[in-house]
Amino acid sequence: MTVRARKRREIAILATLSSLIFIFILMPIAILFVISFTSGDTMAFPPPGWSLRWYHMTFDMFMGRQQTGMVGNFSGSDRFLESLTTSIRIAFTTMVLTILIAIPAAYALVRYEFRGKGVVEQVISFPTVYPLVVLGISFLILSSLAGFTGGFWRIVFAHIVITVSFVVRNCVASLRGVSRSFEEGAATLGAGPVRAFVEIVLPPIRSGLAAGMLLAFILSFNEFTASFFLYSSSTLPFSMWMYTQASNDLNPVIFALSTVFIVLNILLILLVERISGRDGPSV
Amino acid sequence: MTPQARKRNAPYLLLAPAGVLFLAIAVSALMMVRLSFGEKTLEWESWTLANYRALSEGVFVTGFIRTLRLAVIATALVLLLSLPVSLLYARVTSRMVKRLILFIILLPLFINQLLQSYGWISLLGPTGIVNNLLVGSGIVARPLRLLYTETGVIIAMVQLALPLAVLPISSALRNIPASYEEAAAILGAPRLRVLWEIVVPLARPGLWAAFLLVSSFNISAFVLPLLLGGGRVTTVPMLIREQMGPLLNWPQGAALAVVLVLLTLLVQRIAGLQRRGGTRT
Repeated sequence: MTVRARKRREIAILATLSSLIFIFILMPIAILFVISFTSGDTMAFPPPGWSLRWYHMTFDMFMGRQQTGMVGNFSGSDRFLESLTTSIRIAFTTMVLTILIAIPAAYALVRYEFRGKGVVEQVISFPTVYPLVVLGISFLILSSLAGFTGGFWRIVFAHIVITVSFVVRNCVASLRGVSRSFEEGAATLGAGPVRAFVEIVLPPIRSGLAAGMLLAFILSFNEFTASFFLYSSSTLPFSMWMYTQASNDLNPVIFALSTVFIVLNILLILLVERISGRDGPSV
Repeated sequence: MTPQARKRNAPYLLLAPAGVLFLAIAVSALMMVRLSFGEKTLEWESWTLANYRALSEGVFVTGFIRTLRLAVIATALVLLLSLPVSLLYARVTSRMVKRLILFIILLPLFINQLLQSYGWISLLGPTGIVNNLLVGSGIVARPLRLLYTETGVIIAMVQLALPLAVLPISSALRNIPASYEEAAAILGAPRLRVLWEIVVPLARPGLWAAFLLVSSFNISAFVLPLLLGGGRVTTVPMLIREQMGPLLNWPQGAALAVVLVLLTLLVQRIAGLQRRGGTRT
């Protein structure tokens, strides 16, 4: 067998094995989609028949209409919209604060040589291996010690910690693409460092930053573990609402809702991929 | 300030916001450590080693062993399964296919783990697709108990953690010159032997980076044992939750958390040493 034929056969074998693995990876996501169209009241597979009834229910929940004919203990639209707005507010605040922390940090890492740079780089990537359970309970301990019991800000802080390494890395990658000589040119022409940054450095990295921000938004919106320890009765994030509902009764409306959110999520990820260009998000 | 001084201080000023954030993490971690030496109800006034002594009790020891067992099995499976995908990702030249693979691989990372767990609950249940297939094809006589067992948690861990392994491994594989493998192939080495003796050792730094991410993820997995363990798969994060929540014994929870962090640091240390060793060869 020639080297080329061998190579082709090898790619074929790899592709077959990989496809099986892809099916495995996508299975739990795909099954939500399939079962959300069931006509039955349980998540049995295969479904007894097909219907859109769970989507009607989901639609009503989005419209804030009270549910009639609920299954089991499902209390329907109770706090659904509220938890959704809470999560969006948390994710938005996290996104804005994270990028405000990440841009200057990334700029320092790309443009300057300074003492302790190696340590800083290590510290910034530390949250990727810091257990979320520990993050959750240590913030819980700190906030209760400070007499601070509102859920909103402590969840936001935890989410900034979770997203900041990703976003800094993303900003570093974008900033590397901007030549230092442009800024030096601007400085020679009399622009201050802030003006040079806003007018020269920022425009070419806009899309990279936008991708990083969206990434932070997605990660925050979907986060569960830290929120589990940090939410309060007045700040109930969507994940926690879903968890409480499903612990009472895991019925197909949860699957329909999940499908809606997964589709929205996929659209956002595609948007990230699209704006961040060739290689997708630099995770 | 002189321009020089400004230039010298600039990076520190720029890093200040991030510094505040990491200070908060450090302070909260220290408070947690302090609490782990406190007594229940007298959390901040007392000093005791009781919470650490309690860790030798049966429940906790079993919990630690279970956590490690699950993490080791799941991590080994993840590394094994990520090899073909990483190889494919590193070899494929079409940009479209590459993006598609990346998209599939990243999906579990960005979709709520809670929702994916619901997917697994339905897949692994007694009337789920997995059991229907197994029973239908006659492999087993009656449905296997997968849901609310360690096996079920491991299966889901592998699925959720796989993305973390593929990226570092494939970027390490890309750095291996194709000529090495070609030379081995021309000399008549069988494919699997080339893979095992040339590709895997050269990809070692990537494999260790993947090991670090995946094992940290698995050791501290929370959502999966919570939803798919059904209260029976009590790993350390589950024990922490029990102490913080229902039992309201925060000092004991903090002590467990300290040990969990130490475990993570140990894994990080091992991976770090091995990775450095890998680049030397």
